[in-house]
Amino acid sequence: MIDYNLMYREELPLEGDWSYNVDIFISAFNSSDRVKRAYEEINAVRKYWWILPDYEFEKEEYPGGELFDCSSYSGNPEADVAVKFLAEHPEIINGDQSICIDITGFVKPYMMSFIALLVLRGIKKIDVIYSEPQHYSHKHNTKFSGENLIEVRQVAGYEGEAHTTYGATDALIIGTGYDHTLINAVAEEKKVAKKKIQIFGFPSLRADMYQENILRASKASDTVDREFTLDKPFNYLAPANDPFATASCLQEIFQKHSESSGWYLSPLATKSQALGFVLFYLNECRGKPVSIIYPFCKTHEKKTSEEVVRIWKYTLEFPNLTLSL
Amino acid sequence: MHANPFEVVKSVDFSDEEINEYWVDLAESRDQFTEIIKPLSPTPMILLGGKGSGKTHVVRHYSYNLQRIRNKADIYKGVLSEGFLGVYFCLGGLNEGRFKGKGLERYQWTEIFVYHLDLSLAQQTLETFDRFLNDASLKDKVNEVSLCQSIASLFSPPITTPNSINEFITYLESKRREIDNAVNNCAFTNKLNVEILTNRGALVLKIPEMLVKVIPEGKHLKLLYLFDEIENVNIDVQIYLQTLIRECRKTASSIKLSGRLYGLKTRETYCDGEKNVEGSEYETLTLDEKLRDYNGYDDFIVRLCLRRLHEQNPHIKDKDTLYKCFTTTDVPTGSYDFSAQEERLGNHEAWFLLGKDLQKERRHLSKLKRKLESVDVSPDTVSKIMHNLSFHEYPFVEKTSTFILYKQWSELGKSSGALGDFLLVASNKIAASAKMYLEKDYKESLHFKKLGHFRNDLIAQLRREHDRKPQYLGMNAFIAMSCGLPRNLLQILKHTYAAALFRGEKVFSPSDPISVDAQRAGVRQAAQWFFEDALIGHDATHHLRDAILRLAETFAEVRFSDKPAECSVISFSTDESRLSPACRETIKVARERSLLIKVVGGRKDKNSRNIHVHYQLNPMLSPHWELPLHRRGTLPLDAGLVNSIFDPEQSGKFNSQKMIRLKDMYAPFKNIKGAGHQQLELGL
Repeated sequence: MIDYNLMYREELPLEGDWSYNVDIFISAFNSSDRVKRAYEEINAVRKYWWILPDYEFEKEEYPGGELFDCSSYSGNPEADVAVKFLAEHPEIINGDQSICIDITGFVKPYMMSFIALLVLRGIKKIDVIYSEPQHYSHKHNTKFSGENLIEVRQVAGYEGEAHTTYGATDALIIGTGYDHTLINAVAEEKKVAKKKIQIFGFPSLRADMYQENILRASKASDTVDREFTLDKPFNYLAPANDPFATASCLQEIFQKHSESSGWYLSPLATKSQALGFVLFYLNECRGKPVSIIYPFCKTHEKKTSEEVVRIWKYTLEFPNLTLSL
Repeated sequence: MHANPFEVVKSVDFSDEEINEYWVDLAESRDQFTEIIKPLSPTPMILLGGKGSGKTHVVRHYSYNLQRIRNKADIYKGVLSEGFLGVYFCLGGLNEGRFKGKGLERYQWTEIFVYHLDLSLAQQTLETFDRFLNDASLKDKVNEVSLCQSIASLFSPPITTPNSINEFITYLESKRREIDNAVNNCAFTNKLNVEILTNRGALVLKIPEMLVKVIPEGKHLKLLYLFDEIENVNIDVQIYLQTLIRECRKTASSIKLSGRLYGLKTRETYCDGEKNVEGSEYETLTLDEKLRDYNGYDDFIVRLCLRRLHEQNPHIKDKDTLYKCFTTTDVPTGSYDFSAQEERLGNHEAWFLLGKDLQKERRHLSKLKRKLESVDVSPDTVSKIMHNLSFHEYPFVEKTSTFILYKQWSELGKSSGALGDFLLVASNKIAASAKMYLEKDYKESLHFKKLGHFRNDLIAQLRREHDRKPQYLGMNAFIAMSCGLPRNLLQILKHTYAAALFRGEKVFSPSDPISVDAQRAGVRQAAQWFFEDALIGHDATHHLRDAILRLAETFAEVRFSDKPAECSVISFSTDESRLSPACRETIKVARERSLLIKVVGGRKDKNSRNIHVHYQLNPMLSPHWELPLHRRGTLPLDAGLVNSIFDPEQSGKFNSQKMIRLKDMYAPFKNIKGAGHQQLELGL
């Protein structure tokens, strides 16, 4: 069994030199200071800005530097964008280049599919940066995505084998975030799943965010059919800024509920938690009736947070994984 | 810690045993659901219903897993007696969202998904059949090799025939897995190589005949396909399902499709583009409509609650005991028994709202006085009118008097110079009617006639004027709020139970009924849940929400006006032909989400005699806006106002359109000189 807690993370300084060099740096542009700052600080041979369609940036808002403009993509673009980027920059996966992705500005499905594709193409190690906010712009009322939900579906690269058609022994795990409408949408979409399990971010990024999270999640308690209490077996806690602890938490859940024949995972909380879902899935769930589902919205807020309080670098390693397309 | 007997409100969260345990038929003494679902009918059925109507519970009841529970003693005889073997199939579990985009055309995906569906269904059917053979100890009576050969003949090119049903199941599963891998990888390769080995529908339509032939005495058995959650598949797949409906009638299978009100997307088929016709190729049952129209709905839903309470509260055995578990009024009467006359005169409400000495300010009188003064009726006349209408000992009668005066005022077409005299004469007659209402010939009085329609509205107004919340208490109210969707009632009871426990109350104890506070908290939460839940998954949530808010606001302003145009307004009628396309679309979505209910038959317009469409707001929303629970009067609305309510592009006109409609309901009314320029006092 993989011990995710052995995987490496370090805190990068807010001021001063990072003493970290990388060959390829990829970031998704948005209006948050956190994103711009990491792009400026990092020492990389090549840096790329992804312009994602969800943010609906106008051309005059684009940053400088080398751009990968996927703003015109539509439909289910997360895989198309990843494929196109690697097609335009094959050097990234050819040779021994170090790769670093700043996930702070990424809309989660793009981040997830891109990492899946890198791993499927044989990449064994990826550094990931995540910058924690001081607070979200509107506290527990912060909206991250637009109100126009398109659909809840599997994320490309995480679609899994067919679930038992009855669904009665399926389980749904939600990494519970701020947006109760998205939690509702996911729980409603997979209402057939007999078990609905929630992972709350604790410790949270900031002390008050835990209460904000609970406040918002409580609005979805009827759809998830679960009031929040700390009683397991249906509510779990995993640090909001630690993908490795999240992956370990998922391991624990799978062991405790091993009678479930199929799983849906939905990371709706922080991006570092979502990274934990990615890590766990790629290492342990490929080729099984497990899929990651996500509520895809038409648009995403350009700026949802204020200031930076911490910057993390996580090293994802897949040394023994032999996946292929 | 008490377990909330109403915690689980969705049947998907029930195990098969619980589905069986909590099964309640429509009629106590006969299998009425079977009469309406008709599992043996060769005519397929499309069962639609709002969220929480009970579709999945009903459909699962006919699945084999439930047959084996209710026929535990002898499954073989049970299945033969019921005449079918139920195969339940949840279309949502197929995760259809994977089968699109990725560089392929739509028609390519449809072919692959349908093949995947056929394999899945065949696997499910064989698994069900194999379970039945084991349960009925028939395994050794069936030649599985021969059966597998028959099924294998449906594949082309030929496959290596599995030697047993279990092997065939494994084979089908492996084929499904191959498709899954290919579909998943296609996201990154944009290539898909899937070999389709059977004709579309062959497995679904031909396997049943092969299976029933091998069951001893089973040749008349039907294989009943129960497809649930049809809303989770796209229109192309639904064309396929419609084709199956068309083709299954001559086979050993029977089909029931089940889904949300908005679940049915097409009636087209692959049979030369023919469309299935309701009443010919299939029949439709809309479950919540059926329940709303069912005379025995109240009894049915009470039995549902009693079944839930059975384990924890076995002493609650009947309707009366259940009803006694809830306080039904917030009016404290102590040990005083109001006579029928005192009730008729509204004394219990009056004492509650104004104190037993009835000394509190009569706000309905203060308001009327202000309005009379605003239209230049002389102070002397105002004083005489107020004297005529005042009835200190009977505030409710007094309130009714003001209402009658407003009504008469609104029908006046004279100038303000004559208004005072007219109203004074009217107030004299009203005073006489009020006195008559106290006597034994009260039925002859104007008060009696008006209260026959507007009693509930006037009580609601009186409560609001004295800062009291409306009631919405007790099982009768809860059942009315459920409106054909049993889950609504379960939600109310779930939250009420939790609220009562939180307050340290006994729950479901007839000697210690659940408090007003706890019920109000439960109703409030359930109403909020209903509204938010209805909006989930709709991509223009805010438009729909805003439309419902505008409609409800309009109803509330009618109810709390000086002279409501109709009594107990919770519904409206309009000329549909004059509505904008966007307006009609929003109304359609609101209906599909059970926020609006279409009243069958429409309503005849008084002027044109044309039939106008008639819609009611779901009474689960009533508590938000203090609206009635039961529909009585219907508010006719012109197309301009309806468009401004439901069409987002025209919502900017809503306030002005609403003011035009409401002008006739707020003194000093439209016919009064200068009224058009006055700011209406909306009395809220």
